[in-house]
Amino acid sequence: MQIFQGFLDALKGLWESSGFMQLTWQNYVMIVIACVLLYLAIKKQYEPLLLLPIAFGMLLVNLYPDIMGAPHINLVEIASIDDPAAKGHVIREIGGKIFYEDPTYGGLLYYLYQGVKLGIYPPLIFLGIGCMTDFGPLIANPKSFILGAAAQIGIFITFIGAIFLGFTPAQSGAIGIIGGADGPTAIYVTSKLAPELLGPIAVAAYSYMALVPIIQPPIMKLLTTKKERAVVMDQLRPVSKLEKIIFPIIVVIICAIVLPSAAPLIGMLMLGNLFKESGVVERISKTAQNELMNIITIFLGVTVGATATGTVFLTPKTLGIIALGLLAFCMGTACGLLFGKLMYKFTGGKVNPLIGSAGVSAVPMAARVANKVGQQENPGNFLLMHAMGPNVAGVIGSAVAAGVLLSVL
Amino acid sequence: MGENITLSLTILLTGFAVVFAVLLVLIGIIKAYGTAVYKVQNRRQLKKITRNADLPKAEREPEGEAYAADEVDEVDNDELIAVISAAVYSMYDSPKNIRIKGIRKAPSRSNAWRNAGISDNVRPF
Repeated sequence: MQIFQGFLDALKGLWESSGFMQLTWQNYVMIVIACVLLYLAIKKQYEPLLLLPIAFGMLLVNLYPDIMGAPHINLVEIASIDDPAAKGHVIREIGGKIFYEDPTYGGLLYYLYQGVKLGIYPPLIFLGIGCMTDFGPLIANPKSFILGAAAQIGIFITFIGAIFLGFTPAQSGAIGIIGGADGPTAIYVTSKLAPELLGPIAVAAYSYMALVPIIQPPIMKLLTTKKERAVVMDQLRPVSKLEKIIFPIIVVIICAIVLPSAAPLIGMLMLGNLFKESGVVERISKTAQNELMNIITIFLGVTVGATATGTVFLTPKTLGIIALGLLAFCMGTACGLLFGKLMYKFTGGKVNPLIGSAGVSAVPMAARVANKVGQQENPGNFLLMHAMGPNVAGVIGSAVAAGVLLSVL
Repeated sequence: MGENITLSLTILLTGFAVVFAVLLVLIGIIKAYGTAVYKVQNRRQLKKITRNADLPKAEREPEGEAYAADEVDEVDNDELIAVISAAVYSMYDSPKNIRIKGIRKAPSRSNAWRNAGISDNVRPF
């Protein structure tokens, strides 16, 4: 009989600790959302490298919230210091009562999340990106920087929208940075300014980056004429190895002096690029762009996804963030295009304004979209390399904009 | 409301001004050093061509070689030549007078190198 009672108690304990008793309806909704995101990542291949771990982190934390639980100390009251239960524990006396400290360790993802919270992962991702980026088109045509800067205006316009929707200035800055179309920068700024919004902002940023081929073409066609889209640009001049080596050094010196808060992002980006261009540390370069970046991507994706718990994600604020993120993206694209049109006018029709849309980072997707839309008007027009200039300038521009937000807010 | 407008406009103006200023400075610097590097390299190229033209015909470098030398990754080739030379030297029992005139890739008949690579990679720690 005693054995049967023990069996029933064990079953009851298991049932009470199971997800059926612990989870709320918000968790179940989030599990469905995570499954939809997994579907988009696997079947539709929308930014799968990040969307898949983000979605899985979201799934895990809503199935077992304690996986993100922070460590804490329980105080257990005891009758005297000699109590055998207190052996090996720290003893405290509070208000005449004696307690011993019973520490509880944090969940697995809590510890991995410290890399996001402390702003470690995004700069390391930038290191890998730097190793993979060719700044040649930008060096060959430095005017591309103007388009990279213009596309960042969307960040600041969205900031205004967020302020008027009732977000705090810090939260508005984090929401605005979605318009930079740069995942690591968005995560870095949000972790510093509004860590409570990390989940919705990361999901919005990566979703919109994946949707660049759908979001940008209608804006491109709306703001440019057929004649402008058909412009064939002159071939870029070849860039020497020496120029490519000097570039990252100069950029980091200028940016870090003017905006020290942007130094972790731009510094790592340029270090990675110097690894690549110097040609003397091939092994390090390969590690940074492959193994290191892949490891950090796993940690970053899963832990950022794990911040999207039901209670945090399912609020009207998330809808606001998603709407503002779309506005940021569209405004960035539009501003880049409008500056592209200005350059078209000033150069007497030598610049195809479509390359301005690539000023939002989203490397190399935005450049590919500019190329594709250009080829719809003139199949023999290859804008890819011309669009890569503003595209990589956008990466630097969004890091500079991030530095401005971090310094001012 | 007034406070929001002030803050928004401050951020918009600061962000716009700083981002453009930094990137415009970069445009100026990149253009300047791009021109300088281009001039220096052009001058060097010109010197090489002039020197080549002064030499007797038999000693002249083949045309285009001066340019190609800049493009080729010399470090990798030097390392490869050193490794192949060392291997040849050791294969022939360290002869005193050996001179490598050229290195050409032989058609692959055996997969010995591939097997060596695989065994190196899968060797337990």
